Amino acid sequence: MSRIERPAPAEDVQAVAERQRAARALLRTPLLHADGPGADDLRLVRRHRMDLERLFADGFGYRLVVDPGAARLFKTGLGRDATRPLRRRGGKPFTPRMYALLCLTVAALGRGKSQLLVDELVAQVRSAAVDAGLDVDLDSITDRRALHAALSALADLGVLHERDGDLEHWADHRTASLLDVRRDRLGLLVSAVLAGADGPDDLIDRAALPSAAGGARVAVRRRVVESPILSVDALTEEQTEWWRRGRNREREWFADRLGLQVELRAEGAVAIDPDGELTDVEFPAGGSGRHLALLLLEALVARLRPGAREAAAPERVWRRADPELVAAVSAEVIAEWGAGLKREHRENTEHAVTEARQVLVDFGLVRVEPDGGWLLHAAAARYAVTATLAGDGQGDA
Amino acid sequence: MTSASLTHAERVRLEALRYATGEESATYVAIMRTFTGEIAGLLSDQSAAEVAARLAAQGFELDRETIDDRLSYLVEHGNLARSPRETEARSLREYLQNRARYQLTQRGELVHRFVEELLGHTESAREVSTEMLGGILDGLTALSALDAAAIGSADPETLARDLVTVFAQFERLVSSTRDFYTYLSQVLIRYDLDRAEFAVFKTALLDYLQRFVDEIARHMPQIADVLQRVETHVDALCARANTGQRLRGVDGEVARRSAGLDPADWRSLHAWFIGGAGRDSDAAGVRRLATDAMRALLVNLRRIATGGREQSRYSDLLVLARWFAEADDDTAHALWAAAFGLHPCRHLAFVADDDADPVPPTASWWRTPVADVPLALRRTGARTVRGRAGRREDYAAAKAARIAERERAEERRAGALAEIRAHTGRLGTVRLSDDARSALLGLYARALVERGRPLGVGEVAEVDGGGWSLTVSHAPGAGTTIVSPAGRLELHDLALAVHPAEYRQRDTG
Repeated sequence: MSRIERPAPAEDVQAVAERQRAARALLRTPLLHADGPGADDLRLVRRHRMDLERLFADGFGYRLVVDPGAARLFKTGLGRDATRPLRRRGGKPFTPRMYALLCLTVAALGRGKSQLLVDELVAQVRSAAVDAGLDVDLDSITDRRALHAALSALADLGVLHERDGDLEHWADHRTASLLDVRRDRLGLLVSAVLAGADGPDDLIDRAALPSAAGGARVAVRRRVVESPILSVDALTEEQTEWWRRGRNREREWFADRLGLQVELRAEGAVAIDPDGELTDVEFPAGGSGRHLALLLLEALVARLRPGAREAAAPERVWRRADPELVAAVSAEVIAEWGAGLKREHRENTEHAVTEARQVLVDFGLVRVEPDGGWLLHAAAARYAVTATLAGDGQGDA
Repeated sequence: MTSASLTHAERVRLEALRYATGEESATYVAIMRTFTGEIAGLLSDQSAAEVAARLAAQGFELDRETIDDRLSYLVEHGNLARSPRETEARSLREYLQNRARYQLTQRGELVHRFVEELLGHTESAREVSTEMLGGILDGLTALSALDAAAIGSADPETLARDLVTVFAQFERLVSSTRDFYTYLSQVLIRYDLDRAEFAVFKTALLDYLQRFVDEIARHMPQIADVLQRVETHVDALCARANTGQRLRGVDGEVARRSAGLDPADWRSLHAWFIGGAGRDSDAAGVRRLATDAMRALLVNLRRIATGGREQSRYSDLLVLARWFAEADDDTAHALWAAAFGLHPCRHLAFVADDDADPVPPTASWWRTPVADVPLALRRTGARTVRGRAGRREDYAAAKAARIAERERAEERRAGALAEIRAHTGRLGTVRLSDDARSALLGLYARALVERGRPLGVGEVAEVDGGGWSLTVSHAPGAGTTIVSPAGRLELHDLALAVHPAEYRQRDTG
């Protein structure tokens, strides 16, 4: 460097911290609105709007729209990833029927008033269903409950607000309620360009494509920030090359802007949030299913580690555990730790293992093969468990 | 409806609507069509075999059993009736197969007419029959020209026809107006029209509304005048028109007359064109509605002109709904993430302990340090119940938690009150925490409630805050503003003040 470098002006520490908090809030809640717990975060987003718009546009190719009452980070698709369903308030994922009614409701609200009673909304959804050529029967309890799930989701998203009445019991008892429609937020719901897609598969594939401008950088960064694991086997040649050259710099970039610690390894990378809050599901964490998932993971890693250490580099990314091995290890783990699981899991161990497996699949640590065998990702080897089993003074009689 | 619930008879009458909404509504409607399709429907009857033949011609292949079932269902619900019979049947089969003939009931005809109307009804604009205004005016003018002698010598039939015609035209005007406005209220709030669609829509509708308002404005004063003249001898007109032959029902009751032949019918006409005590005429209301509609159209126009944001188009969302409905679970979840992009990011927890010895990024996870996760499982013993009723629940823990919660709440309240107390004197604009704000509003409400009557100018309400007091006084021009993290609250013309205890000489006995 022949140029004389001037030291950059010192950044205001508080501004940096606020920006980081605002960016994290948007990543966790892509639609922030003023009527919910996100009100404080929204204020920060508004304050640092310019910087954030630049950060998301340059960093991830995401568009950020900031309105007076809401901020929306338009995330793009994740491709064929079924692990991010919309969840109902009870935690169960939406069914296709519920998604369909959600779309019909959004369509109907777009043509409706800014305040309406739930029965008026039902009438509008009925006519939208007729326009869509869908056979929806809102007198049957199944479809009523599906619509109710959609309405609750829209209320949680801040699009509907229950002004008065009892929406909770509407599906079963037809209770009345008065709903306010936040029309400005309706337009912020859909992020993909729907026009011109000729089917669900086409839309899913197109939504996941980064623009040509960002190329490898945008594609890899999106994966690091959205998904638990960046696996080298999922990268194209161009992306692999860019990642190999830039990964140390990227580690700094993520730490500075988002407070994420990126752990770099030969098989890929994981971005860990030291505070453990920048995620929709936590793992490792409490709860019977997740306890079992962690114990199973560790027991399987212990069996696979010797073979993996000897294997050639490309063979190390995913290691297979045959169905018999999975069954044997599950039985061992349950025999040793089963007493610490919740009662339903003790009584139905098959169900317990299925639930634990789903946790691991959701985090990309495990893939299930058609024959029932498990593929474990190398990142699974990063956990060591120190488990203890304590009585709670209510032992068996 | 005056009574809270329908009478049994009314409920039974409504059962006549059921055939059109059930599982088999297609065949029921087809059967009813065979009865109402021709002009002779009300007069002729058909046997089940004839019904079956007609249905087969329309492509409904039903066996005789089913046809009989369907027909008897319709008989049960009052849509059809079995024709009176001459001979006695010896068995059910014979009764149904050989000689049962069905005919349409009046109720069945009425219901089916509505069913057909609903099925054929499209959500389109219908022009208001403003041409009726002219007709009504002519009819009323002719009637107003009759004096008492002319009425006495008029032919009752002709007079009745004239009266009924005026009312038929009026009915048409009212119902088409009502239709037009329901249509209007539906389209005015459409959020999904783009600029081009809206422009077309706007011109057509604004022009039409303008014409409509003009039309009403032109006819209204004249009609009101003539109507007032006619109303002086409505009773005589009706009496004369009713002197002809009248149909009587089986029970001797006079059958219902067409609108216009009863003096009471004229009230609605009066209300529409002239209005009543304390209310405007409906025609004036219609003009007002038209003006409102124009204003709403302009609001929408402004929204479209300023809103640069692309709206999620209605039709796109319907297509998306169809895709979701036909997808399997996994596709639906992937489609949700792709189309809406509302998913949070997801990350593992627990940082690995490699601070002391940084690991090169080329090292394998299988050979590098790990993240230690402590996992404390609790043994949850199986609680067996042996032949006894349920165990006594132990609420001690819950009670303790409740008490602790109460204590915490008390502490917070005490802290909030102390915070308010720190602002001794008039509270002009004051910054408080959220807790203190709600405590202050609680005190303010209590002050007014304990006072029990509205606060007049210069009056003061007071409440004790524990060692100090809050006064609320009505002082025009004064105001109090409370700013807290949750927002800003302004109380107009009210002065709030905090006074320490010594302000009021208290006995501390």
